[in-house]
Amino acid sequence: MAKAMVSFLSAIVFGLGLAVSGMTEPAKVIGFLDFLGNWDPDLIFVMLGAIAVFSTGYWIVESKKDSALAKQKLDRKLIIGSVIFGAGWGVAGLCPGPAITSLSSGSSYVYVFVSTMLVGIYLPRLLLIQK
Amino acid sequence: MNSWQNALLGGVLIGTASLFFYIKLNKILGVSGLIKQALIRTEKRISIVFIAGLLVAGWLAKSFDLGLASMDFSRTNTEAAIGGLLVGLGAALANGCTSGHGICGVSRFSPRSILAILIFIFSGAFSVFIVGGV
Repeated sequence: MAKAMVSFLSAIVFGLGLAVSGMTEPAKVIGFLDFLGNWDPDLIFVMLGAIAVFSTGYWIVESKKDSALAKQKLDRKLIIGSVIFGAGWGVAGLCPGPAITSLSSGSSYVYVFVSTMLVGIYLPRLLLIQK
Repeated sequence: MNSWQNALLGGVLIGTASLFFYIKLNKILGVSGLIKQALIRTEKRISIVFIAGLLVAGWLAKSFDLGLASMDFSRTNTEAAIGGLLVGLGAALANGCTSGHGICGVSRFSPRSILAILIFIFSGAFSVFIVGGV
């Protein structure tokens, strides 16, 4: 199968999964992150389901551990980036995949989010701190 | 279906798509990375086609009422603008988002990804604590 076709089919199944799971509903995501308030644990099952399938397949295909992974550094950029990402996720209730998938909803909320997200993704390159 | 069952079914679909992508292309499926590749025009075909696929999925989901139907945002467009900028910048610096780190990375026992997803969740929870729940 052509590479582009693999990517296209993966994206359709991936996006349908996001829509079915509730990840495309900002209120649901915010509820999941609201540990100290009205916590809604449902979205844990998205991660559990996805990791169960991916890890089973991955460990069948890759019989031994990728030794390069353990040598990767836990650098400051990863930590700062993750803190910033989490902050934005809690403010808006969307992350990149669900945001793109929700563009079809026609909501201005999603258009605004995706617009500034594209700026954010490009910003480190613009500021010459990342390739 | 209950919403946790929807979540589980959605997760299984997401995991299946990530696995298919990995096995066929020998690449980790990470949405922020693919968006970045589309922006800077590396891996152009794979990345642009992937984004097109997500758009088609959203359209299908809306048309067949599989989600995106009850879009209750409960936040304003100002919060969308701030959130989007932070999510984009954060994903670029962390080299991944909820998909690449949260699913593929964690499954591969990548220390960077495990740290990233833990920080995503705790930072997200702190953010909701400050901004307010719904």
